[in-house]
Amino acid sequence: MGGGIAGVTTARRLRNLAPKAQVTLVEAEPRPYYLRPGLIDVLSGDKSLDDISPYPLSWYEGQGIEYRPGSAAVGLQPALRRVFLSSGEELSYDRVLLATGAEAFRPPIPGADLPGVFTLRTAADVERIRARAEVAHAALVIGGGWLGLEAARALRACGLSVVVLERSLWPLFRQLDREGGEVLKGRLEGLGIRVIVGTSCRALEGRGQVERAVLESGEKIEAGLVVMAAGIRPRTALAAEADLAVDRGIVVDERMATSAPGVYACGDAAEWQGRVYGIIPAAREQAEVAAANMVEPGSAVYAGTVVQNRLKVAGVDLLCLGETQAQGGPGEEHRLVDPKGGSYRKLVVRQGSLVGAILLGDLSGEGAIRELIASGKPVGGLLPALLSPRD
Amino acid sequence: MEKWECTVCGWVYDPKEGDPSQGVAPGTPFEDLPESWVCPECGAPKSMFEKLS
Repeated sequence: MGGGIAGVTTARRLRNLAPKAQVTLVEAEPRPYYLRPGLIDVLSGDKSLDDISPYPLSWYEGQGIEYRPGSAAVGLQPALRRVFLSSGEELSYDRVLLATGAEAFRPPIPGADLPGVFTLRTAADVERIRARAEVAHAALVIGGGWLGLEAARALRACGLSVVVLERSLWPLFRQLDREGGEVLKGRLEGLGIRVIVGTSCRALEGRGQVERAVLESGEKIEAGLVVMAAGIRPRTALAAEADLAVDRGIVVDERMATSAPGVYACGDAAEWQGRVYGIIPAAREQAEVAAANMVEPGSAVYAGTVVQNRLKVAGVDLLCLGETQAQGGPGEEHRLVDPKGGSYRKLVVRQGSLVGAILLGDLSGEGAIRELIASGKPVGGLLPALLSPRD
Repeated sequence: MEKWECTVCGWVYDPKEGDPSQGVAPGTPFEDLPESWVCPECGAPKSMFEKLS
């Protein structure tokens, strides 16, 4: 159930592990699988949806996977081993995987249901936002995390004026510290994106459609297009209605098995050891484990996914390693701030050893920094060179 | 050995490092990756990679 990365990876793996098994992939969205991170480039106009859709319908046929786009699973009866689809069909199974993913969280702001207010999660969302961007001049992005900043850059590329609203004190609050956040803010402003921090949106207003946002600070921001980038929520309704254990996500054990026999879950819908990762590498690794156990119960164990610490946001490279002390901490902090060049570097030293680093805009010296953090060797006189590796 | 870049998300395959998350040993050239291998960051298949010049 679910034809995103988790479902597609599981289906492929099942096909390899059990060539004779009948595999059916049910997907609510009407179009074939696309690579979700590529949606930003579709929004900016740099790519088409076809460019980010790796497999044509014939691919599923070639793989021997029965593919059913455009129908969602609406009911599950684990005791009878049956699922019910929105099309009215009923399917029976030996094992079922719930890879129903997550949906964008829509903060309960008054006016959030006005035309012109969107979330950004699916291909259909991107099509709607692009259509709106043709007629709107000013956009507001609510949320200054990775998705919000990428959406801002893409909308700017569409020619709109763009404001990003982040209620924390700096953008990319989870990854960056204050000084790094300031440098990133400066770079975004250099792209023509205004970043407002430390306040949230009280209401969205307009006659018949969104025209402006009113902030808690009292300021009014004109915006004919609003994108809410405020995180995701796992889709758990199907599992909850079938009385499976559900917390934030569908609860799974280290074999990706849910609380019901024969029912597995993975990806953005699943919660493992209290964690919903919400990232592709985790969905893929969990899918491999789920597929193995669906074929041969007990044959594979999931041990967690190492979260990648390197990302690109609004065209800027960012690397976070070890103890970054984003919100402060016990280690000594050594900084090099270059607001003009738009780069920032922080090295965290404890008891003479490098324990963490943030590199923004300039990743030179990355290899040496990684090695020192891993080895724990005294950093000594290397510090100045690590701080400004280009000198 | 050449590095290859994912055209969708920009992740770079470096043969020196391989891809431990999919059981690819360090030193494996891009050409030798199995057809089932995908970009670890976005899931794009091999065909969506371009050689870095």
